[in-house]
Amino acid sequence: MLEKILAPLMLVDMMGELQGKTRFQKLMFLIQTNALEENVCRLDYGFKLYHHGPFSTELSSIVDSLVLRNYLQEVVEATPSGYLRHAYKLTTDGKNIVEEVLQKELVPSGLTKIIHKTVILYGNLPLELLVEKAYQRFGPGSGVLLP
Amino acid sequence: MSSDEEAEENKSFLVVKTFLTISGKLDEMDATIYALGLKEGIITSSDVAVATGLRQTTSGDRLRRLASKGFFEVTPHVGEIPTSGKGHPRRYRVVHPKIVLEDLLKIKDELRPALDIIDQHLEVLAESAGPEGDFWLIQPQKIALKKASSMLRGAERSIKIYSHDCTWFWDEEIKNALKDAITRGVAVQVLATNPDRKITKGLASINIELYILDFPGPPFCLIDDSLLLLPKKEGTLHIQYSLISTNERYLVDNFSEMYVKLLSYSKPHGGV
Repeated sequence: MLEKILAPLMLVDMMGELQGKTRFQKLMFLIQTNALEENVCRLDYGFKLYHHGPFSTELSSIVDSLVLRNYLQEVVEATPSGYLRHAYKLTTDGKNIVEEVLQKELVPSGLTKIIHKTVILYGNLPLELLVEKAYQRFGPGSGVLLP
Repeated sequence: MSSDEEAEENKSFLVVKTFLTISGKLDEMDATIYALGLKEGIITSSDVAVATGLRQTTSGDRLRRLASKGFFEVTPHVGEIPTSGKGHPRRYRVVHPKIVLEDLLKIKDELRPALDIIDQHLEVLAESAGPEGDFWLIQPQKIALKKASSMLRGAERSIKIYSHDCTWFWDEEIKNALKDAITRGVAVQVLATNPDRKITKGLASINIELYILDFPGPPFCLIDDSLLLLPKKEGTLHIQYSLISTNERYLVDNFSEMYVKLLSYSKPHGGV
């Protein structure tokens, strides 16, 4: 499904720079949940619940392959606490794709709106709160099954 | 077989050899012997001696050990089974890597998703403020350089480096991290005592402000005036650099003041 590959690119585009794999995962989870609730589309990344909230290995593989194909740039940076964090930006190729997607309306406009809304509401939420928010939304109705 | 095909095949032997040493399954020499076995199919201790320069008895010991670990099948001793007669050297037939490395390959498949979960866990820890005043020694050099470049990538406002010949600039990851920092609007400044022409050109090409001074003090780097990095020379025969990092306020402030003083004694590169 095209949306599954394009939605992460659109999210990074709207964020400018997306700091952290965890943030990436939680935001995509909220996008998937909202898209399902609003009957826009079924993203079905196969999220499972872990200690730090929902996580999808499929989404992780998609992001890796977007990096490999040079649509996303991934950099590893240290935070002030000394731990490492992955940050994502669109490359020129990635920007071109997103531009084309938006121009040709290759994804439902509802999905674009949901991604935009998610970025505004949760994009820069402290990670702890974002994880909590995603935790709360996990379960029946989020498009995933509780383990 | 064309030379390209042969090169490709040799590369595959090298990949298996590297995998075996990096994973700690075999030491460098045993992995070399196993790679030789993969290439030849059947080998003897004298083949190993010729290929590696080891003595034949040592080669035989290594082959026997590799056989006992499952990397080779071996022709039995006289008396064990009546096949290898007196005077015939023991021959070792290589066992396919998929059989020998089954456990490693299985865990390798599980490693990737496990690392993703660990990434998530460490990123949650990364958001915490972290302890203040700690000193961390990062080694060896390869890891120190990787960690240093990730710290440079985390810079938000400024990077100040006091160095001598600035040879760190030739490390691609450090160079790219600095380049990226400048693109993000971080002020990057280098004070140096004796950079060579190539380095000064390289620094200028990525718009790093370079100042020259004549004071050979201990080199250091300040990130956002809140994190101090100090290289530490180690080793006698082979010199390696490790890295000390600290956010200890008193020390960071002292080095920040020292940097300002050093800067006041310096001249912009190319200036009068």
